[in-house]
Amino acid sequence: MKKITLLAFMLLFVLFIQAQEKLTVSFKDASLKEVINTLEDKTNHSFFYMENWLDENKITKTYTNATLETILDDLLKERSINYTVFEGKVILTNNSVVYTTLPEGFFGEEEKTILKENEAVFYNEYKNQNLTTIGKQNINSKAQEFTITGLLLNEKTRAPIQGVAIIADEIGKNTTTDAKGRFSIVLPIGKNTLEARLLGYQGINKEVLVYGDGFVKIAIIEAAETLGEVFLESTANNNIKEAVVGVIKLDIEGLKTIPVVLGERDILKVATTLPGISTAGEGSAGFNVRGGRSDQNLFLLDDAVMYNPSHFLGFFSAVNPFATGSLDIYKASIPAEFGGRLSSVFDIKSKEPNYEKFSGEGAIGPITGSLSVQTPIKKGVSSITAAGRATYSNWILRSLDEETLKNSEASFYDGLVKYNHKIDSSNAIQATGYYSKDKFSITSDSTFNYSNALASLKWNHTFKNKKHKSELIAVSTQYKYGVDYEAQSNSNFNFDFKINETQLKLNLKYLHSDKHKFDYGISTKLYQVEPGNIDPYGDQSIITPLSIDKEKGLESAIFVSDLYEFNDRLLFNVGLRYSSFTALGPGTQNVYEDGQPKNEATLTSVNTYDNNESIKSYGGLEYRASLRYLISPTLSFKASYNKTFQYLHLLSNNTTISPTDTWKLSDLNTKPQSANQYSIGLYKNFEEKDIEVSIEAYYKKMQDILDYKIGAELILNETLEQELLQGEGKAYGVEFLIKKKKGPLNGWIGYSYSRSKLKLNSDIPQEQVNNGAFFPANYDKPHDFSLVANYRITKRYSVSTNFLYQTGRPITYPVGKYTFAGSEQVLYSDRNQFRIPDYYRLDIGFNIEASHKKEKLAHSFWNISVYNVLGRNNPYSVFFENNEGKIQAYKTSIFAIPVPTITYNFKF
Amino acid sequence: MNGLKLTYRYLLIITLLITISCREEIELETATFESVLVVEATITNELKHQEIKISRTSVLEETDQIIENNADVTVVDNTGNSFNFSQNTEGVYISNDLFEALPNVEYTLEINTINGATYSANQQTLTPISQIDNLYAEFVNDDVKGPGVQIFVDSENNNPNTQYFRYEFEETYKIVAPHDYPVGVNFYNYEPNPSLCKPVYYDIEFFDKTQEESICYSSSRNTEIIQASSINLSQNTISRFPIRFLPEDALDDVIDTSILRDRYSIKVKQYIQNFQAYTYYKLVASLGNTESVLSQNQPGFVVGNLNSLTNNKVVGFFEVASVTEQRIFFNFNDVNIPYPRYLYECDYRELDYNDNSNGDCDGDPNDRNLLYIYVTGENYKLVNYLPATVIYSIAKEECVNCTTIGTNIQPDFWIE
Repeated sequence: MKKITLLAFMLLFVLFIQAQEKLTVSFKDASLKEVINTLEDKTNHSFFYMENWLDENKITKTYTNATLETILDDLLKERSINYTVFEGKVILTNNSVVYTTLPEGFFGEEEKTILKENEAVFYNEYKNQNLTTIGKQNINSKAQEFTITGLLLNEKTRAPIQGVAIIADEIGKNTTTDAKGRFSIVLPIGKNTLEARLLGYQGINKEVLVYGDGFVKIAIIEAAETLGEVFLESTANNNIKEAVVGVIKLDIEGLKTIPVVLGERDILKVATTLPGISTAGEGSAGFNVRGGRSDQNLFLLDDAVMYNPSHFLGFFSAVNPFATGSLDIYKASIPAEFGGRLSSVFDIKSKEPNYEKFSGEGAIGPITGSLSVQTPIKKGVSSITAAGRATYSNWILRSLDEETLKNSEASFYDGLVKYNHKIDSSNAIQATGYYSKDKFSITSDSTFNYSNALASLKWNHTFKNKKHKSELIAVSTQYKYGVDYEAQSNSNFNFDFKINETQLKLNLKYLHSDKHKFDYGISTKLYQVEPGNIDPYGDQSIITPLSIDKEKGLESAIFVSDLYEFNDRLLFNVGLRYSSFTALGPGTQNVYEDGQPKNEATLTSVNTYDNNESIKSYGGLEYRASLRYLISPTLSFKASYNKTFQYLHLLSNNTTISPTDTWKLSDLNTKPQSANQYSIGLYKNFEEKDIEVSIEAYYKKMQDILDYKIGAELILNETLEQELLQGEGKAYGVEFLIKKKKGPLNGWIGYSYSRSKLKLNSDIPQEQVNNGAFFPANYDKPHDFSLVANYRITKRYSVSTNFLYQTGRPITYPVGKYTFAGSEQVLYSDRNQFRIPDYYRLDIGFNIEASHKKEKLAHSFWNISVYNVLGRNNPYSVFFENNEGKIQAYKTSIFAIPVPTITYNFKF
Repeated sequence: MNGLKLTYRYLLIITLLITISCREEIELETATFESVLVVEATITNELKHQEIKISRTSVLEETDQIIENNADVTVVDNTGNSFNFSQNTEGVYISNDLFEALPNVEYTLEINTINGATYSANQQTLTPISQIDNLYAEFVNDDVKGPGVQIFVDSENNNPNTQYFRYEFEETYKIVAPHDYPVGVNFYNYEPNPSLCKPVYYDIEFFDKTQEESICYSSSRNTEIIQASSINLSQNTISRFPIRFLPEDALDDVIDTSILRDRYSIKVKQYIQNFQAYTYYKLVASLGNTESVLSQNQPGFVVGNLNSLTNNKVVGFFEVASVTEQRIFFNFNDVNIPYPRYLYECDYRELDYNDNSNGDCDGDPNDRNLLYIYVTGENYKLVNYLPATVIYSIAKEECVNCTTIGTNIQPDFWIE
C-alpha cells in the first residue's frame, strides 16, 4: 500500500511513455487478476495495483493485434480504474488520473478562476474506510455536477429498502429511495456526505468522492434500538418521517453553549425548555410531562431505572453531562417495550464507546469538577468508558469563617463505568454501573442524603439469517434516602427509605419484510420497598423505633409492535403490551368495608400473607398505536393513541420543602394508575432555512391518580391507605415548537398552553376535595414559553441566552382565620385555588473556544454564564405554620439574584 | 490574588444560598379574604340553655373574632319541637328555653343570617351515653414532657358505638397573694427638681382597701382540640388518657405546677362523637399543628356538615353529642410535689422615704424618688408601712392584689 502511494507521488513529476507493442490474447471466464497476470507475462510489464480494486467479474474477450493501451482501455472502461504505462510498468490507480502536469497553483501562482479545474485527489487524502468513490476521473471533464444513482440495501438481507431518506446535507439536497431501493441525486464534484435515514435502521453517513456520474451502493443496518442516537444536526426530516408523536431527542454535544446554572451542562434542564416538559418549580426534583404527576416518568440510564434523576433538589441532573450520549423523551407514543409509567419515558444512553483511541473530556466549574475518559482495551473489540463528577462545596463550607455555615452539608458525586465488548460480528455485550450520592442540609438541624445505584448488562445477538435480532437485558436499581435530624433536643432521629428493583428483559426484532418490522419481547421485574424506618439518634433521644412493613411486587409484561409501511405516505406503528402486577407477601393488609371510604370505622379485618403469597393482582392491555401520513416530503401529519398502566406510586407532598417522597406499590387498597392519551401533530420543515416547525395537541385522561386527603400524613403511617384518595385526572394542551438547527443563529422557541386537572370525589364530604369538582393539579401551569438562542459571532466566540416564562403554580392559600373549639384555626382556600406569582428568568452565556490549532493536546472552551440576569425573585412555594397559636408565613425562593459562573471545559 | 479570593468568596456564598437561605419568613397577609360563616354547634343531652357559637372568619392580620350578630337560629327535631336561639351579651346564641337532646330523635339546625344567607345542617341524632369513671392526677416523669403533674381520664364503655371521644376541660385554681395589707397608698403632686441631684417632693395619701385582694380564683379552658378513640383497642375503654399536663417547672409564659400552690380544681367534659364529627375535629386540629421535619400536612378547605342553601361557603359542624362531666379538687400535697412557688416572681423592696439627699448623684440612690417611680410607674403596691421609721415596703402588684390575675368571687362549685 505504501509502495503504491509513494509511486503515485513520484509519478506526478514524470512524463509517461506509451508502449507500442502489439499483442493477441484471448480470455475465457477469467478474472481481472488472471487477465493482468497474463498481460504481465506477455508484455514484460509489471503491474502495480491494490488487489481489492479488482472485481470478480468474469472476462471473456479476444484481442487481436492490439496495443496494451487498447486492451487496458477496453478492460477498464466499465471500471473505475485508471492506468498509466511507464518504463515497463503499468500502474493502476483507482479513480485518480495520474496527472502528468501539476495542478494549477501548485507552486503558488495566482489561481486561474475562469473555470474551476478538477482538483487532483490523492489516495491518502481520504483514508476513511467509509469513503466511496464514484465515477472515473476524466482529465478533460470540466463538469461541476454529476448525477449519482444509487441502491439502498439492508446490510444483512441485501434486500433493497424503500422510503429511505437520502440527504446531502452540505448542499441541502435530499431524496428518498423508490420501491426498488433506488435513488438519484445530483452532487457537486469532490467530497460529499450522503446521509441515509429510516426509522428502525441505524442512520449512516456515507462519504462519497464524486468524479463523475456513477453508482453507489449503500447498506444500512437495523437499529438495535428502535431509535438510535440521533444528533441534533443530523435529524433532518426525522421529525417529519417518523411515526412517533411527541418525541424529543437531545444530544449532549448540541447543548454545550446553552447558559447553565452554576456551570453545569444539564440535559434534563434543557429538556424542560421544550414544550410539554416542566418542573413544579425551580429546584424541584420532579418532572411533569404533559400534565402528568412527577412519578409518571420512566427515567432509564442504559436501560436501568433511575428513581431520582437529580442532584441537589433538582438543580443538577444526576448524570454527568460528559457521560451522557443522548436522551430520547417519549411523551406521547411510548414504544411497546416500555411500560410501568403513565406519562413518559426519558431514555438516557451513556456515551458511545470509543473503540479506536483514548479520549476524554471534562469541566471545571465553581461547584463541581467532572471528567470522562474512554479508552479501547483491545482496538476495535472492547472499550471502557469511565466518568465521574464531584462537588467541592463541602470543602468550601468547612473552610468558611462563618460558624453557622460550618456544619452545613452540600455535596454530591456520581460515577459511571461502562464496558463494551464486540465478541464477534453477531454478538456484543455492554455492562454499565452507575452510582450517585447526595448529601445536604436544608435546615441547620437536619441532613438529607440519597443515592441511586444502577447496574445493567446487555447482550446483543444477531441471528444467522440476519432477519432476527435479540437483546437480553438484566438491570438492577436501588434508590434510598435518609434524613438525620439532630437538634438540641431529645427528638433526634435517623429516618430511611429504600426501593430495589431488578428486571430481566428480552427484546426481539424480526424484520419480516419491507412492509413489516416487528419488535416483541417479554420482561419481568421484582420490586422490594422499605417504606420507612425511624430510629432514635443519640442516647438522649426518646424517639420510638418504628419500621413500616416492607412491600414486594412482581411486574411482568409481554409486548409486540409492528412498524407497518402501508405505502410511501402512510406508516403505522402499532403496538400492544400486556402488563400485570402482583403484590406479594409477606405482609399484612387492612380490609375495609366494600364501597365505603377507608377509615378506622370501616376497617373490618387484617389479612396476613406469607412470603411470596399473592396479595392482589392487577393487569391489562396497553395499546400503543401511531401513524404518520406524509403530505409532502417536508410536511407530515401524525396521530397516536397510547394506553399505559402504572403499578408504583410516589407519595409526594408538594407543600413541603423536604425531599421526603416515598414510593409505594399497588396493593389490596391502592389500585394501579392508568392513562389514555390521544395526540395529533403537524410537522413542517423549511429546509433552505434549516427550520423545523411543529404543532402538537393532546388529550390525556387518567384514572386512579393518587392524591391525599386534607391533613394527610404520608411518612411513617401504618394505615397510609386511609390518607390516600384515588381520583380522575385530565390533561390537555397544545404545544408549539420552532427550531433552527444550523447557522450562526440557532436555537428554538417553544410554547405550550396546557391544563392538568384532578377530581377527587367521594360520598362522604370529608373525603372530597373541592366538592368533588375538577381542580388544577399542583403542576398545572397553563402558559409555558421558552426561548433558547445561540449566536455564533466568530468561530471562537458565541453568545447564548435562555428566556423562560411560566404561569405560577397553584397553591392552597390561607384565606382567613377563625376560632373553633377554643383555638385559632386557619381557613384554607379550596385546593390549589390560588397561584404563586408567574415565573420568569433570563440567562445569558458567553462561550470562548480556545484556538483551533490542530496539534493541541486538548481542545477546550470557556463558558461564562449568568443565571437569572434580571434577579427575579421567583417564589417557589409559600407555606404557613402555626407556631404556638400564631400563624407565620414562609416563602421559599431559589436564586433570587443573578448568579454568575465560569466553567472551563476541555476535551482530548 | 486578592480579587480571586473575593470572587471565590462570592461563589461560596451563592452555594450557601441554596442550602441555607431557601426559606424566609414573610409578612402575613390575606391574599383574597373570604368572609365565611363559622358555626360551632354542639347540642347535648344536658337540660340547659344550649349554646351555639356563630362567627365569621377574619383576615389573618386581625386579632379579634368577628361575631355574626342577629342571625335567626333554630334547632328543629323530628317530633315537632322547634327551639329558637337568641344572642347573649357575649354574642353567643343561647336557646330561649331549656332543653336536652333525647335519644333517637333527629335534630337539624337552621341559620338565617341578616344578609339573607340560609344554612342548614343535616339530621343528627344523639350519640350513645357514656360516663367518666375516673378523673385523677398523678406526678409523672413523662418521656417527652418531663416531670410534672398529669391529669388522667378513665372511661369504660359497654356500648360498642361509643368509640370517639372529645374532651373539654375547665380548670380553676385558688390564688393566695403572698403579701396581704389592708391599706393602700397613692402619691401625687410630684415636683421633680430641675437639677437631678436635688431632693424631690410629693404628697402621700393612704386609703383603706374596700375589696378582697388576697384570695382569688382563676379559670381557664383547653385551647386545643382533645380527642381520643377506642377504635383500635380491643375494648371500648379509655384508660389513663392524659387530658392535662402541668410541667413541674416550665419556662415563663407557660402555666406550670404553681397553679397547684393553693388549691386546684378541674372539670372534664367528655363528649361522645360520631365518626364524621370526630374526623372533622381531628382534621381541623391537625391543620393547626406545628409541622414535623419529615412532612407537612396537605392543607385545604375542611368540609363540615353544614350546607348553604344560598351557596355560601360555611365552616363548622353541628353535632348532637352526649356529654358527661366530672370535677375533682386536689392540692399539691395530694400529688406529692413540693410546695410550688407563687405564679409570679415577687419583687419586694423596702424604701426609706427620708432618703432624699443628693438625688442619685452620690452613688446611693434616692429612696424617696425610687419609691415614687416604683409605685406610680411600675404599679408596685404597699405591703407594709412603719410610720415611725417612714419605711415603705412595696411589692409587685400581682403579689399583693390577686384581682389583677383572677376574680375574688369564689365560684359556686368551689369546695375547700
